[in-house]
Amino acid sequence: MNEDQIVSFQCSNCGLAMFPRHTRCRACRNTDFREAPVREGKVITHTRLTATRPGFAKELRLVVVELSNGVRVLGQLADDTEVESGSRVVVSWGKLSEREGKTVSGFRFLSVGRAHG
Amino acid sequence: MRQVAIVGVGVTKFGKHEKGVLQLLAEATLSALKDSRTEQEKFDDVFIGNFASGEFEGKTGIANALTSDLALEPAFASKIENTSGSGGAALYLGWMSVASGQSNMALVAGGEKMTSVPTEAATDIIATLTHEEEYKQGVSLLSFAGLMTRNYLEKYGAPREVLAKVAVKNHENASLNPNAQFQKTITVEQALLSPIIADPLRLYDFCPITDGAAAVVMVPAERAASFTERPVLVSGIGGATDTHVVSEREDLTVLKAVKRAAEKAYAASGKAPKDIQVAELHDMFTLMEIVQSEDLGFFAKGEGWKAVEAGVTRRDGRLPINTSGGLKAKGHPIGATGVAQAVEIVWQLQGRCGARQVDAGVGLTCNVAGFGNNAVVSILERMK
Repeated sequence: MNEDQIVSFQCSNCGLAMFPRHTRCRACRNTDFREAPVREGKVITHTRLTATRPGFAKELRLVVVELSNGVRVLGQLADDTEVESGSRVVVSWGKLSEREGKTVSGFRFLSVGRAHG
Repeated sequence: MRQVAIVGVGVTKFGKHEKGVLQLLAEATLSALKDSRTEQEKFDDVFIGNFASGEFEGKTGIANALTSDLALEPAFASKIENTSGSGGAALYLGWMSVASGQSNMALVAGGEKMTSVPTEAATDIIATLTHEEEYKQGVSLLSFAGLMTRNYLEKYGAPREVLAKVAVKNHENASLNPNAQFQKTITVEQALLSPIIADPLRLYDFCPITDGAAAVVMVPAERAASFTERPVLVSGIGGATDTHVVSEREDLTVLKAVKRAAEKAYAASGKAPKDIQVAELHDMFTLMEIVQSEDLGFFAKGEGWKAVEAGVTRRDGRLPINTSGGLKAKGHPIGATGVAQAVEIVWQLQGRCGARQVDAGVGLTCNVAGFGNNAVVSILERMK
């Protein structure tokens, strides 16, 4: 799996893209999807969470990102740079949590500065 | 469909209890049976709203256990699990059973024992209701709350202080409710200086971890007068859903499930938002009360915060919201909440709320499950 992308799912019937994958398309109820990799997006909203769950960092920055194909996903912000709503982010890969010796990895976001316009 | 009335209610004190969920449910139920003078009546249905007795206490099959403990056999019994909307879902099914003619007397109770585990473990149990892809990233309901709140404040230009005013109002209401978990008032300054949990939200923006239970007795409206002098009509009730994946909503500041459930409840009752005179909303964090007040049609989208500023939602305002103290200050024993909201509205319509009494003949409850992926709205009216 290419590590610097999120694989979203595009309905092979109506074209609606989504992540995570649903068993049936949200728009037309079709069950066939093709993979649609995405690498960047912009921040819709963000939070700094201090009451985190077991296995996660004591402080966690979470963002909702609108990806370049319009799909909105939630993920961790990997670096410690400042983001605002509208900031551009790119997809990276890394450790999300570690509990009882078991590491969970997945996509994360890196900020690359303010969007223009 | 037949009209359905609530003829008796009961609730435990909310807070930290030594008792387990079954004992709490039994206590609330006994109060409701006494209130409706149905101690010797035969019940057809027992619906028990509960989220996670298995995870919190290692107890399963609690509806059957309660039915047997309270000698309610041979009634049909079932636990109803709908996360934070378990109580509302039980209310909906109780109404449906009586309205359809299947049942002539239904017990609807909700309860949760949450302090049996540490707060961090409780947060984790609750977080399991999220989608696995969002769960994997570390979300809890607290983080969704922070994400939604920043989006709302930025989108509508609402000041951070207005959230503190919701907390202050609900604490003040709770201080007049002997069953509420918090009995102390707080100030805007205290709320704004409390520790950050999920910025921009702080500790005083969130409901606490709570033990408690609530119960109501439902009968066909035509039989109501034989159980109480002050029956309350369930004139409309509706339930609906929205996406499970929170981030895929087009607008994070809109709770579509609430809008859809409300449309059904208003249509069934023939009432409009302007007819509602008191409401109990699902304020698991402060902004949730504002967002629901908009999605229920009380105020335009993005304007609910102005109603808080203007005092409209205070006890002496045009539309008092959360006179009980709400989830924020009365407490939120998850499975109990939807039923407890109905108990408060019933008491308000019956004139039994003492120092927090408001003048109302029509009330509304809004019980939200998950992070807005499911909602039950009910409209209750004083019977003529």
